[in-house]
Amino acid sequence: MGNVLKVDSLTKRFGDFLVIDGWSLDLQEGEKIVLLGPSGCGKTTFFRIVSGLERQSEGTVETFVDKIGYVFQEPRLLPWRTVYDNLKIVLDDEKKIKQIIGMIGLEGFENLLPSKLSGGMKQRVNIARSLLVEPQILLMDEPFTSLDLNIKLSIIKDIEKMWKKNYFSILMVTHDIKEALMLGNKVVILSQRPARILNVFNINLSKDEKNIYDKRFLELESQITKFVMSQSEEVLV
Amino acid sequence: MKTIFGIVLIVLLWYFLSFVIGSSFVLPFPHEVLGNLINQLSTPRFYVALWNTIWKTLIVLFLSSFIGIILGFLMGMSDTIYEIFRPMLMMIQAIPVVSWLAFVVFLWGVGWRGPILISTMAILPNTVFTTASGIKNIDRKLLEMVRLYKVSRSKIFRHVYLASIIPFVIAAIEVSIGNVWKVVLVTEFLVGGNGLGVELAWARQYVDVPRIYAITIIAVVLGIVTERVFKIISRRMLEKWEMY
Repeated sequence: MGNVLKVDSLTKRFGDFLVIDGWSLDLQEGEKIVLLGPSGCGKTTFFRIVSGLERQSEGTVETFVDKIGYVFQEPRLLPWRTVYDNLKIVLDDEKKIKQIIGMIGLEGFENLLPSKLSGGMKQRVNIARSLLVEPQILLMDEPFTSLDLNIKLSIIKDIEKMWKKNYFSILMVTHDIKEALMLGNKVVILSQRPARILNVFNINLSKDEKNIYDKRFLELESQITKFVMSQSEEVLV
Repeated sequence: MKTIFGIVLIVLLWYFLSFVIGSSFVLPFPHEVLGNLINQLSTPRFYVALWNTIWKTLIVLFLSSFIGIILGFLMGMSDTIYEIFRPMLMMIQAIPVVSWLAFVVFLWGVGWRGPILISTMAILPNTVFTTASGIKNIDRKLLEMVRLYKVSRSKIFRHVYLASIIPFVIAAIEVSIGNVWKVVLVTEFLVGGNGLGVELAWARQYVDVPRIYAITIIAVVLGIVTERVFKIISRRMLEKWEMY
C-alpha cells in the first residue's frame, strides 16, 4: 500500500490572514480520510492546494497520482450543456457515462440542461463527473449538503461500491459526524481558524456497523462529539 | 395590434405638428411625404442608391463584427493586450465622424471606401469592448473545473469561452445594427459616391424636403427590419444549439 498524497507542515496565508497552520497528513492508497471541522476553517483551501488550484505558503504537498476527481461544494456545471454533455466534456466514453448515469440515478435526466435540475440533482451530476474520470484520489467538499437522507445514503453506498472495485483514495470534508463515520476509515478533527489538526480517530467499523442505529456507530459518534465539544469549550474559555 | 395604434399615434402627431408649424419646408404633411416616397419607389435610381447603402452597411457590419470579436476575445484573454489596445480604441471611439473626413477625402476622394472606413471605426469599439467584457465575465469556477479535469484546450475554447461570450456578441451586434444605418447614411452624405446618404445630400441641395423625409422613413424601416430579423435568427440559432 503506497502513499498517494503526502502533506508536510502545510501552511497557507492570505496576506496576513493565517488559514491553515502546519498540517501534516499522509493519504494511503485506498484510504478514506474525512476532515471534520467548523465552517470556514480552511478545508476548501486545503483541497484547492491538493488539486493544484492554489499554492501553499509554506510546507510541501506531494501527490503521487495524476487522476484526481473533485466534488466541488457547488456543482460547477456548464449551464449551456446537457447533463450528458457535462459529463462527456471530462471523459468522452459513452459506455462509462451511461454506467455512471445509471449508478448515480440520473437516468431520464441526461438531456436536460442544468437550469432544469433541482439542487440535489445538480450535485449528483457533480459527483458523477468526479467518479467518471476513475480518480485515484477523490476529493469531496461537503458533497452531501444539498441531498436528502435517502439519496445521501444511496450515493455513499455507490461510492463504497466503486471504491471496492477501483480502490481509490478518498478525502472528504464535512461537518456532519454521521457522514464522516459512514464513509471514512479515519476522521481528522480540525480546530477553528487558523486550522490545526487536533486529533485523528481511526474508524474500524464493519459494513454492518456502518448503520446510524448500530451500537458501535453511536459510541464512536458520541466519542467524537464529546471531543469536539470539549475543544469548542476550550475555545470559548 | 398595439403597435398599429403606436404607428397611428406617430402619424397623428406628425399631422398635428405639420399643421402647427404650417410650413412644408420645415415639416411637410405625411401624405406629401408618402406621395414622394411612392414616386421614388418607381424610379430605378432609388433602387441603385438603396442597394449601394445596403452592401456598404453589410460590409461595415461584417468588418466591425469580425475584427471586433477577434480583438475583443484577445483583449479579454490578456490584460496586457487589453491595456495596449484600450487607449487606441478609446481614441477611435471619441473621434467625431467629421474629423475623419479630411483624412478620407485626401486619401481616397469621394467614393465607397470612405463611408466603409469611417462607419467601421464608429461601430468597432463597442463590439470590441462588449466581447472583451464577455470574456472577462466568464465564471472562473468553471475554468477551474475544466482545468482540474484536464479538459483539452480546444474543448475549453468551444464549450466554455465561445459559449460564454455568445450572449455578449449577440448584444454587441444588436447595438451595431441599431447604429450602423445612421452612421453609413451620415458618411455617405458627407463623402459617399452613391447611396441613400448621397440622395439625402441631393434632396437637401434642391430643398426637396418631402424627399428628405421619404428617405429618412426608408432608413428607419431598414433599421427596424434588420434588427428584428437579426433577433429572430439569433434566437433560433440559440434554441437550435440548446444554449439558453
